[in-house]
Order: sequence, then structure tokens, then C-alpha cells
Amino acid sequence: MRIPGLKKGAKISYIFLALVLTVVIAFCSENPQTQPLSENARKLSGQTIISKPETNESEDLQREHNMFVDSLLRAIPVAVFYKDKEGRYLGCNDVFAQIQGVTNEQIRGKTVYDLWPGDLAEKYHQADLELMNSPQHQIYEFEVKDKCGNFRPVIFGKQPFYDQHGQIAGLVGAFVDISAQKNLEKRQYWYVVTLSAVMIIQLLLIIALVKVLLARKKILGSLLQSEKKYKRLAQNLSAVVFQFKMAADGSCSFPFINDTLFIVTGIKAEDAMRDVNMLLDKIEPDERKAFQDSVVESARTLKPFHCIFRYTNRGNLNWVEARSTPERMSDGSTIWDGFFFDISEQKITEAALREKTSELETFFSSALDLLCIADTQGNFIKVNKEWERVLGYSVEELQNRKFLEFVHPDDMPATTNALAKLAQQETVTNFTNRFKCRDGNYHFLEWRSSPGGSIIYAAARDITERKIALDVLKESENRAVLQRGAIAAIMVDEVVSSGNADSAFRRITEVLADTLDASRSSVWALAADGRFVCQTLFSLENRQFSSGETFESAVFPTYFKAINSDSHVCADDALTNRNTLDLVDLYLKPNDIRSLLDAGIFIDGRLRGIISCEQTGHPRKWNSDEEAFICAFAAFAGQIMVAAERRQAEKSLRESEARLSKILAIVPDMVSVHDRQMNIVYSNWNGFGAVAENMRKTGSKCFKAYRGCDDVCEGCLAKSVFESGKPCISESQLADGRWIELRVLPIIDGDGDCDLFVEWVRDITSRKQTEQVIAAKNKELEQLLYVASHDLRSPLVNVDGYSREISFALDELQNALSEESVAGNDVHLETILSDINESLAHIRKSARQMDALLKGLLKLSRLGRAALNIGVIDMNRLVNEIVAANDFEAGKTGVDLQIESLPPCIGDCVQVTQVFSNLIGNAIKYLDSGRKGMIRVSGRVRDGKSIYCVEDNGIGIAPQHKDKIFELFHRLEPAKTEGEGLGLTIVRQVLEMLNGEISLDSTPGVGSCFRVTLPSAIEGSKS
Amino acid sequence: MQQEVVILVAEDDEGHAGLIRKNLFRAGIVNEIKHFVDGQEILNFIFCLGNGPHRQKGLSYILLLDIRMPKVDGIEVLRQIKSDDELKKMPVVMITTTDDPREVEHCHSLGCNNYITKPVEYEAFVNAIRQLGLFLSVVELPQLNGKNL
Repeated sequence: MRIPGLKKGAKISYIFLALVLTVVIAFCSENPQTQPLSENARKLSGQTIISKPETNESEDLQREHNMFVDSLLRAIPVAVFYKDKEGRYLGCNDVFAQIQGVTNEQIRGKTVYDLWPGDLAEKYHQADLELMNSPQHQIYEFEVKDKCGNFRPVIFGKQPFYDQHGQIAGLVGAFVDISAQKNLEKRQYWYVVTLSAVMIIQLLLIIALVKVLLARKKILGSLLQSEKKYKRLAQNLSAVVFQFKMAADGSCSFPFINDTLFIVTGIKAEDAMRDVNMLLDKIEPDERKAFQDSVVESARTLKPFHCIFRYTNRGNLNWVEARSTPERMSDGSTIWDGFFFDISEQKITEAALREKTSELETFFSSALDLLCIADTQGNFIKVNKEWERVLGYSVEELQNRKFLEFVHPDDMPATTNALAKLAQQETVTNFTNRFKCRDGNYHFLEWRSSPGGSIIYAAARDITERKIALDVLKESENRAVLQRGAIAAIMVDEVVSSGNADSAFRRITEVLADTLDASRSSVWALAADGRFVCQTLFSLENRQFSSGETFESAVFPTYFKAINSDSHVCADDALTNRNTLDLVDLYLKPNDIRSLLDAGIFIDGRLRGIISCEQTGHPRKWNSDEEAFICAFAAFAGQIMVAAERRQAEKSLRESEARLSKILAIVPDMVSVHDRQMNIVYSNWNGFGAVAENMRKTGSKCFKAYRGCDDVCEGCLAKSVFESGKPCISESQLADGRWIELRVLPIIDGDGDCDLFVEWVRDITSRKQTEQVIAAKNKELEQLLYVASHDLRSPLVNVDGYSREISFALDELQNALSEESVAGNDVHLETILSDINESLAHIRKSARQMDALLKGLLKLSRLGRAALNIGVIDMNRLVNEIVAANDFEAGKTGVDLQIESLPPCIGDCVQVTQVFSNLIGNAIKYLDSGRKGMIRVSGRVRDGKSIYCVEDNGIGIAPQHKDKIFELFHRLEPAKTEGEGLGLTIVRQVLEMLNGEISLDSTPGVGSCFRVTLPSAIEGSKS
Repeated sequence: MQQEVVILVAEDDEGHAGLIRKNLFRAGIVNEIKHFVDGQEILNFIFCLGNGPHRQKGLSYILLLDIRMPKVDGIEVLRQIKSDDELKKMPVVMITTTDDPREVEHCHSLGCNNYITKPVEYEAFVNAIRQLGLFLSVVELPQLNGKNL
């Protein structure tokens, strides 16, 4: 479709306005003309000369004209006004009234100064004056003030109209509002211009038709009038009847002339008869000679005289026609009897007719539309020049042919049908058919046809271009509808929004290929290794999906450069497009792709994939809307990728959270996450936390939930962790004696801030206890080893040392024996022998000591290895047996041994016997020799334990020795008492094995009380 | 060696005490030797406690101290001596059967002047005692004033 420029649009407006004015003025100027004609006729004929029916016919015609003018003024969408020559408004049409906000009545008789603001009125007036002074068509662009007070740009068209004397009687003006055109954007403006053009053309056609009709009517009407006039003149003798005489000497006179002369010429008959020149002088000077020549000629040839000339009557120039027949008198003079009459009306009518005919002819030939006159049989009668331009045939060629020959066969029935309608005197509008041009192409013609009997008056317009443009428009509209539908469908598609990228890509490639009718469509995604991997490829032919193909972007640098810079690549012919040359051998040819439309999938401004539409087999023109469409789909694909990535990330996160949660649930320790305000963000509520159900609330303060405190715990590790940002570990003992290990780890977020921390609390009480037990055991073992090694070495030092002494002594003895006996030698020998005896005594003692130590160790070792036989022990019986077996009876030792009733306990009978026999034995051993020994064994049950006391009133043990007495081989008084220093060690060892304890209360010089605790055998003793 | 120096031997084992005495004598040390059988006895002597013999003012003493003894062990004796401002001037030589480095370290940290291990090998023991005798012969020992008397 050709896009005409602004000028063209404006030009159309001008043409339109000019035509409207022409039409309006033509009708307006006819109006005052018709009126005086009938008046003149009436005056001419007196009161009775015009017969009634004739008057009616003339008035009908006039009324018809008036009505037409009225309708026309109403119908045209142009503001029209008319003024008299003084500039007073005579009237306006509805459009004018509407725009200006005035009524016809209001403006009548007013001037521009009465109606519009001063400067505006001044301009209007100036323009009017200009028109009056230079009466021709005036068209100019200016503005009007509308009823709302806004100034609107308009195009004015004005033209003067004339009275019957050819004087300017006033002016007709019209204007068209062009503010809309001015404001419209170019594209929209085109539509308006097109619309205006169409409207104008329609109007033109209507006007043309109307004019054709009116012109015809007018011709007929004028002829009729002339005829009538002649008849009237003939019948009513309204002509001037005269007798003209030219004497032989050439002098002229009117022997007779009737009174009508006065009416026609303003000269009285008598005057004319008296002086012929009175009449002749009034003949227009230019024509006087011709008139005289005609008279002379008629006189010479005696042929009838006929002359038409102009004659001044009362200052007006009238046309007069004179006819007379000469007759030669005998005296040589010539007498003409004849008549003459005013034919001004006829002349004016004829001139008007000529003008109209020529105007019509000009219009017909210069119209931009195809105008033709044809008959209902399908023959061209007359065509205008435009046909040559449009169809390429000459006017002559067309005028002698049937127009049906040119009609496209497919349009023939419709055309015939239209012709039939026209034959029935129906108007046919908006009829379109195709006409064959000289070059063989068909052009679309749109017809407006009006019948006139068997004649068709028709105007056609070549709408081929518009038709093609419309087809293109329609096609693009269809595509737009499809594309919009596709986009809308994708946007609400559940598969696409499901987050499953594979399904979503399948859906969008399918929709893409279907919508653009492309052979293949595919989505490629950039993988981590920098390759593009085909996510899905849809083939329209078999509607199959495939995927997996890959390529490296480095292989197609030009293509990717284009994608990155333009976001898409559109290659109508991909084999020659410079952007796709990279692809030709490696991709296009193997896949038979000839055309492609690809768009980059950009996420955060980075190319992450390609969405592609490909045409196999042949090149194809991609439209700009299709480019936009694939870009929209690229955006969809980008969203899908983002959604899929997010989904994947969320899934991983959920999985890892679930894993973590499971792990944390089985962790026997308490793991919790707190924020800076010590609120619990997360807790597994396990382990040490063992928080009551109702306290297990995230969001509560950690110190409240875990420890029931109202404020942050003293020395809270989390605080220091927040400050340092470094993890820390500590062990601490709670008020209830339990031990915990606390690990605090800051959670550093992406910005390096630490708003959360993890607290990992482990109850290590049992470990601590074990550690203590182990430490005690280790110490004990160490002590044992130390003692053993130390005490075992001691005798050896003696053995070795005294052996050496003996050796010295033997040397001395040998010396003494070998020397000659001297005085005092015996003494010396005795000393030596005594030394040897002493040394031997030491050696033997050491040997015994060593044996005892080894026996003790063995005993201790046996104790550890003995199989325990745990059961309920009747302690009364056990203690009594000990007393009996060891001869501890009071009578034998002189000790007061009291044994109270003892509660039973649980243990190994043999071991417990060992314990009590050691204790009672010790008590007896360490009695104070200064007083009577007294030993008491008692027992009770408390807290599930049987507690036994072995009390004595012996020497007692100083506080600083209390721990030492349980040491292996330790003896407080080795010199005073026998023993191996093993008894209490064994006691402690045994009690440890039997879950018992031993403690000591003692005051030196008063006595000791060894307290033994063993598990009680009494049921319910705990309570 | 100064005649007025009294050698105190705290040793629960009679045999060991005898061997020390014999070897000191053999090394030419003829100073008075006082023998104590446990920690308590020597403490009573030095700190002038109880009914037993007490040290005399104006004399110099040197203490050969066994570690493992009944009632009060040598470490405790050493600690008490070295905690006393007057008594800490007295040289203390640890004589013991163990050569546990930690124990040696402990004794040194408490302020013992020498540490002799009682070896099983007689020669070594004799050498050690002789070294002690040489040590005693070259060191001028401070007199202990009778603060505690």
C-alpha cells in the first residue's frame, strides 16, 4: 500500500472543499437567477401572459432546487455559510451552527464583528474584502473559535456569487476542521486520511452523480423554458413589431413601431418613429456596424433580416433578436416588416448551460476516479481518461466495447446481477469486481452506479492496492490473533507453569511451531560446560520431540555475536544471511534448513539459551510480528529456566533440610539454633535439652526454655561467639552436678554477618564420671606400680649391699687368717664374724620381706581375678563365723567384742568375709595397750544401702594418714606390729568390686570407726 | 668436713640405713649420724616436736631423706622443711629407690639439694654415697638457728 504524505492528505482536503464550494455556489447562484427570470417574464407579459400550468412547472423546478440545496447543505460534513456583499451573514448550515455554537437565526444579518472576537473578526473581514476585490476561488488555512472557546485549525474555502447582472451579490464560505488531522500521529493519520479520502470520493461520486442528473434536468428545463418563451412571445405579441424603411437614398425611418418598444427599449414609439437614431444609437457600438451591414445586405439581397445584438435599455445591456422580411418598394426604398424582442434571458440561460456542460465535461475528464456511462446491456458509452491510466486501454478502445468482456470470469455472475438491479432502476453501491488490464492483470474496481433508464452512470475506483493492503493487513491481523492466542495460552498453561522444564519446553516449542507454521522449533540451554544442549526439538511434520544435540558456541561466532547484540537472528534465507553463515555447513545443510528465526534466552542480561524456529526446504519471509513473537517466547523460556532452577534449588534445599532434620532428630545431643536475641530459631529438643513439651517453642528465649532462667546465663558463650565470630567449645558443670559440653558455632551468612549461631549441647556427665573412675584407677595402678617397684627394690638393695659387705668381711677374714696371729686378732675375727652374721641377717630378712611382698601382690592379683558369686549375705552369721575362725572371742584376746544385729546385704560371701576379717583384725591389732580394748560391729539400712560400722577404741589414725592407710604395703607402725601392709588395700579393692564403699572416722588416741557400705538386700529399703 | 655437721638419715629400712652408714664411713666421713625410721620422727626432731630428741641450736645439719616411709613420706618432709624460712637453709639430699623423673622433678621443685637413686648395683650405690661424702666435704653448711627451739 502506498503511504501518501501529509501534503497529499491536505491536498485531498482542499480538493474536497473546493468541490463542495463549487457545488454549493452553483446551486446558490442559480437560486437568485431563477427568481428574476419568472419575475421578468411576469412583468414582460403583464398580469395575464403567463399561463397557470406553466408557472407551476417552473415553481416546482425551483422548489426542487431549493430543497436539494437545503439537503445538500445539511448533508455535507462541512461547515457552510453565506454572506451578502456587505459582509452580513445570510445563513449557515447545521455543521457551521454546531461548531460555532450559534443558530441560523442568530447569525442572520450579523457581521463577523458582531459574532467573533476583534482580531479574529478583523482577519475574517480582510479575507472577505480580498475575495470581493479579487473575485475568485479563495482557499486558505486559518482557525475558528468553537463553541467551547477553543481555536480549531480549519481550511476555509470561499467563493463569491453573482446577481443576474453579473454583479457580486455576496459570498459562500465553507470550512473543514483539520484539528484532528493535525493532532494525529502519522500512522493513525494515514487511516484518517484514507477514511477522509474514501469519504471525499464517495461525496465526489455523489456530487458528480447529482451534477450529472441536475445538468441533464437543467438542460431539459432550459430548453423547455426557451420554447415556452418563444411561444409566449408569439402568442401574446410581446415582441416589438415594427416597420423599418430605408429610402433609396439610404435614409432610414420607422414608419411604424408598436408601444411594446418602450417596455423592451425604454424608448417611446413616437420618439423612435420621429428619429430612427434614437433607437439605433442604443445598439452596442461594437455591434452597430454589423447591424447596419446586415440591414444593407438584406436590402441588397432582399433576404430576411436576422440579427442578434446587444442593446442598452435603461442603462442595462440586453440581448435583442430582430427578424424581418424586406420588401422592395417601387420607389427604390426597402421596407422591412418585422419584430424584435429581448432575448437576454435566453442568452443568459444558454451561457449558463454552456458553462455547465463544459464544467461537466471538465469534471468527467479530469476526475481521478473511473467514470463511465454505459447501458444496461453492458456496453461502454463514454469513459473518462482515468480508464487509460488504470487499465491501460485507450478511451476509444473502451468506448466501442462491452465492458463485460473485461470482467473477471469469477465476478461475472455478480456483475450480471448488479446490471439487472440497475436495469430495475436500483442504485448499486459498494460493488466490487475485477477488470482485466491490458497487461493481463486484474484490478479490483469498486463501483457506485446509478441508473437513468437504460443508461448507467457509474464511478469506479481502483482499489487493487487497498485490497492487497487489506489482504496483507488481514493476514497480519490473523497472525496477530493467533499469536495473541498462543501467548495467552502459554501464560495460563499449567504444564508451562508447573516448573517442569522439559514439559514446559515441549509445550512452548509445539505452540511456537504451530503458531508460526514453522517446520521445526527448539529450545537450547547453555550447560555448565559452555555447550548448548538441545532441551527439546519439535518437528511439525511428524509432531515428534527429540533432544540432546549439542554444539559449542565458539564454533558459531558470527551467529552468537548477532544473538548477543540483537537478541535475535532473523534469516529469511539462512544459506545467504551473513549472520547464519557459520551454521551453513555444520548445521543448516545437514538438517535441510533454509530459513531460521532464533531468539536468545537472556537471564539477568546473560545469554542462557536459544529458542529457534526453522523452516526446512525453502526460504521464508519472517514478519516483524513473528520476530516479536519469538522474542516473547524467548522470555517465556527464560522464565521457565529460572523457575526450573529455582525449583531444583528449592528441592535440593528441601532434601538437605529433610536429611539434616532426620540426622538431627537422631542425634542424642541437643542441637539448637538461636539468634542474637537468644531466641530459639530451631531445636531438635533432644538430649540435654530434654525440655518439657509445653516449653518446646521456637521463638522462646534459650535460657528460659533450657534452664528456666529469666536472663542470659552467666558467661554465655554465644555472646562471645557473636563478638568474635569464632566457634568455641567449653565444658561446664551444672548446679545439679551434671556435666555438659557446649559447642557454639556462628552461622556466617553471605554478607559475612553473624546473626545466628548453633548450640550443640552434650550431656557428658557419664563420661566425666567414667573419666574420674578411670583417673582414680590409673592413679591407683600407678601407685601400685610405684609402690611395688619401690618396695620390691628395697630388699634387693639390702641383699646386694649386704652380700657385698659379706664379701668385704670375707676378704678381711682371709687377710686375718693368712696374717700371723697377733694380739687382738681374735677380737678382730669376732668383729668380722659378727659383721657377716649381721649382713646375713639383713639378707635373710630382705628375702622374707620380698617373699611377703610377692605373696601380697599375688593375693591382690587373685582378688582381681576371682569370680564373684553375688547373693544375699546374712551378715550376722558371716561376722560370727569370722570371730570363731580367727579366735577373736573375747575370752581369748581380752577384748570386749560386741556384735550387734546386722542387716543383710548383697555381695560375694567370700570377699565380704575377707573385708570384715581384715577390719576386725586391724581393730584388734591397733588397740591401745593403755586401756581395755573394745570393739563394736553394728549395722543399719539407709537409702537402699546397708551400712556397717567397725568401731574400736584403739590408737586412732591422724587425719593426715587417713588416705595413706589404704595404700598398698603401707604400714603406719612397721616396727611395732606385724603385717604385710595389704589389709586395707584389699578391703578397698573388694568393696569397689561389690559396689560398696569404705570410709573412716578416727581420732588419734580415742579410736577409729571404719564404715562399710554395701547394697542392701532388704526389699523396698529405698523408701 | 666440719666436725659440727650432723648427718641426719631418715630411712625406714634398717638395712639401707646400715649400708649408708657403712659406706659413709668407708668414704671417710665420720660425722655424727642420726637415724630416723619414719617421716614423723625426723619432723619431730627438726621442728622440735613431741617427746623425742630435738635438734640443737647452733649445729649444722644435713638430711639424707628417703621418700617412701611410714606415716609421713619424704616428699612431705621435704615440703615442710623447705617451707620454713630457717630450716630451708639445711641441705636435703633425697635418697630413694625410684628414679621416676616426675618424682625427681617434684623434689627439685620443692627445693631438694641433691637426689640420689639407691641402685641395686652396689658399686653404683657406693659411688653415689662417696659422691655425697665428697659433696659434704666441700660444702660449707649453714648453721641452723634455734628459731623453733
